[in-house]
Amino acid sequence: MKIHISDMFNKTSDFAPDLSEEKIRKDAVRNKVLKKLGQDTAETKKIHRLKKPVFIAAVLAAAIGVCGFAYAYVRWAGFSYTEGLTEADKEAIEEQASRTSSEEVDAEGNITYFDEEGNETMTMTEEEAEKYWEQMEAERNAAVQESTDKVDVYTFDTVPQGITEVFTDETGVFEDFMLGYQYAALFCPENSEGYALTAGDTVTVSLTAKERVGIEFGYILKGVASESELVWNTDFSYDMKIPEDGVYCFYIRLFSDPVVELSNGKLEIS
Amino acid sequence: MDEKKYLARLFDKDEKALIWFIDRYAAYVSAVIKRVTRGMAPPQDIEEAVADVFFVLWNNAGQIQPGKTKAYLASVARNKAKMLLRNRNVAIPLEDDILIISGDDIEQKFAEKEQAAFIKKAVCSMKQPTRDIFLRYYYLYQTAEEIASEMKMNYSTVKTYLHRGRARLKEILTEGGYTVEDSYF
Repeated sequence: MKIHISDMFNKTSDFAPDLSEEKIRKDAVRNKVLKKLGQDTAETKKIHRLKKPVFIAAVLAAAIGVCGFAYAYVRWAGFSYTEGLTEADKEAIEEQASRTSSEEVDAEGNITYFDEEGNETMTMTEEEAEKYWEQMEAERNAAVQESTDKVDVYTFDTVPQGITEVFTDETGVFEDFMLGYQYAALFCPENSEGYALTAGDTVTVSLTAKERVGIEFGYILKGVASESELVWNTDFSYDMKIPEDGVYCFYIRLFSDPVVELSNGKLEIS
Repeated sequence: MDEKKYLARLFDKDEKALIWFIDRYAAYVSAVIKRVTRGMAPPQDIEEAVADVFFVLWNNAGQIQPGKTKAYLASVARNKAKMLLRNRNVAIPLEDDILIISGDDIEQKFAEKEQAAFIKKAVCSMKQPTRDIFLRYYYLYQTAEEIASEMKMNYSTVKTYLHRGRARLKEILTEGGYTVEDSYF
């Protein structure tokens, strides 16, 4: 049997070789980690932004209420129904969703931004950057608000990168779709403000993810987003107890991973 | 507050505890990733990989034994670095990495878990600096030249210590009932 000595270490976690430590931007790492946790501190606003081409697509999608059916013809904008998509299309979405832009800070504190392909896009001072991204974020949030009238997006703990209304049929079933990191899908019956429910009802949102992911579940009542609960799984069946009589919509938001493919979606009331 | 208490707070999903670990270990994690990737990954990818390592720490705090956090981070960082290179279709060439071993039911018995036990036993039994050099070469994928430079040794001295490390690994495997082909030692 032929093995690699280096591979023998693959299942160990016992060794911490002595190394001289490398310089690293701890602030940047901290912000990236918190972003992965779905947090949004004041400092992360610089980094918590859409990539430019995706931002433009998201604004376009939000403005015309597009739910992603035109993925084949536009850049990935955080949501796409999967019907009609080939495996190659889905892989292309995953590849696009996984790309990251980056930045470098020079000795004077000037920040140079690079797109996903590593091309330099712009350079700003730290103060300019802070104002710029605050403005971009405000514009993005406004665009997200335009995409739905069922929720005040500012009632979420952090405004989703985008929101798509996904309609359920008379049996509660909704179509399969792909969802991007920090994007939300909002479930409600078509041509309706939502589900008229009674206190004590239980709503179960079921769906299957292609791989284990973290998804936040919550509801919307009177335009206000409830606090969400984060669940990690592949097969989801999340119950929500209705607290008071009213008209409800329900939402999910992708907490982990650049993108996830979701299927077998259903919303049931008991 | 010692690391054990921060680990407990991390398990309770206290973000401030996570920040504590980042402040304490980010530079070390970066050092591991940079060595494994041998300078073939750009700084922004390394930064992202470092962040990924701490995200893994956040999600697996319950699995970490107190006192072993640094080693746990090193193993996750190593895997992240290897994934970085795989995603770029970059292979890490490593000389003298192959072992040919034989024994009863070798394929079934010598699974990854058992391999890990043997390498752990072998490395823990190595004297310094053999142990450090062996780990730098086989765990961090550093070249003999890089090791010689960082540890301020001659290249040939590093090769000698690596040979001793492999010999010790062979002894441990032989004691375990396996036969190792001599040509690799």
